[in-house]
Amino acid sequence: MWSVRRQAAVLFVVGLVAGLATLFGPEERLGGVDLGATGAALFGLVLVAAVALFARGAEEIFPEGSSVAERRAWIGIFFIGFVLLSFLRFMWALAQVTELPQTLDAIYAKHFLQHLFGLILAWKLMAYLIARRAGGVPLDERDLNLEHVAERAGDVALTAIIIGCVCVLAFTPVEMLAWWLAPIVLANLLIGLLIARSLVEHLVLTFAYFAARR
Amino acid sequence: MTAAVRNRIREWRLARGDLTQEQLAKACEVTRQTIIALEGGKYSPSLELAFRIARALGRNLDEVFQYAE
Repeated sequence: MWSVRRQAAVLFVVGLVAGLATLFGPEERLGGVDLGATGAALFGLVLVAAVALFARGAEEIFPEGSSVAERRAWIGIFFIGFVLLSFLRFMWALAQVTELPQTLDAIYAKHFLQHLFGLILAWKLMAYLIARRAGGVPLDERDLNLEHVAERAGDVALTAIIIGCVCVLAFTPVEMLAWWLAPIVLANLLIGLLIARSLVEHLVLTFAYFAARR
Repeated sequence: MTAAVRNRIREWRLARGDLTQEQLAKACEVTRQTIIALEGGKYSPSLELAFRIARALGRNLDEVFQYAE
């Protein structure tokens, strides 16, 4: 029987391949197989299996000596990373359409939102199971201090990205500005900023925990 | 990073004989990782936590914590 850590590693690799097939799979069938739909179904199964695995032995998956908050930060990176990839894929799809849709459900967005809902649900369930399996105090003042440092880094990143966006817009030819400033594109760019900020925050937090354990 | 507040938590904890990091963490309502960081001199506690630790160890505050000049 495989150890819980090895099972988690296998699930991670299968989930990554399935996730990439869902997002970047070709539109045409390959050998009669719809890679996108198959990847999405497999990805859903991996999420369910991962939640079950966390319920059985979350503490065995992470390095010994890591706290509940550090474990939560680790899974946060994986989920936000995937959300960011999904978002970039969505923006790419949006850039390909000749006429911008007026409502979110007119395009790939509906699928993206369902996808997002499943991801967030699995993420929150895993975070809950990590704390439940560990018992004791899940979060203390040291965790809050590290979170504060990570939030500040997230704010700095957000500011830098906004300045970057302003520069890009300033140097974008006028004929292309119409696309960038369309309400649906602008709304999604703002969401993208929040996702990027959250990713930076989780990366800094995880690094801070990792550095503190060394 | 080294904390500005030095402590003798490990010394007093071991002097108690049977007190593990896990038990001390539970008594002070913090994670074991925080006790590890404190004992390793990598974290300065809040005043409230410092009092809780001193009380759990059965010592006065200044016996457990000293400010590094």
